[in-house]
Amino acid sequence: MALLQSNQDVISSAMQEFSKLLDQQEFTKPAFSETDMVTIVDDWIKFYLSYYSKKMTGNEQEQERAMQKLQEELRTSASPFLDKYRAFLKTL
Amino acid sequence: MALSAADKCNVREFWEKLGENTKVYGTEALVRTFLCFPETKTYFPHFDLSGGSRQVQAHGKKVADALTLAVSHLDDLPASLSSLSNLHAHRLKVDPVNFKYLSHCLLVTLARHHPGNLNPEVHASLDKFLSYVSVVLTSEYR
Repeated sequence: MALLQSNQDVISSAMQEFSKLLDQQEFTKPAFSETDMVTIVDDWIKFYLSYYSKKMTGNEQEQERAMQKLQEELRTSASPFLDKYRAFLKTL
Repeated sequence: MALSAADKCNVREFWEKLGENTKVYGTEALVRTFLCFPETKTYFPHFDLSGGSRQVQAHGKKVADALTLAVSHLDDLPASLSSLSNLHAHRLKVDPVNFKYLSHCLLVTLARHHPGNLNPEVHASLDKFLSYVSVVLTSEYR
């Protein structure tokens, strides 16, 4: 079942902001360990979920489905970022 | 990564809203850093790192005051932070990665205390600002 359009719009704007945040990261020495970077990305995702949960509309079930979708998209977006970071760590 | 005009505006406006609480947040960010990234404690062997430690509070205040100074000199950070940069590089010899840990823990602290004011755009601007401060504070390490 499709999400409410308003919730889909919220997810789209969240993903735009999140990709901006990822894009602005500069990998420099000295570097975090991979484990610490995973912790940091997790914190970012928690922040985004907390912030955008207040923007969702509809009944509880619709909001839950929208938040589930947002979490999946945030994690999917973070994955290549973490791959890039692993590759960076290998160059050190 | 240079700060855009929008970034500077976001940082100034947000930081102004914190008022005197910056000191409390500076201390909480330090405690959070020690808890989440324990290796950072190695730089404070002479500190009492237990909860409510006066030394941690005093250092949290220094961190907050330094950032308040930086916020008021966004157009010329290197000059305004040069003495701090010198201190960290030549006397304290703090591993530069610690600035990154502290920056992240400060953002988490601010998000916890100011969920309404800290939206993703301001979060990204503060992230850039704190990264820039870290770069400036470690510029004399080279």
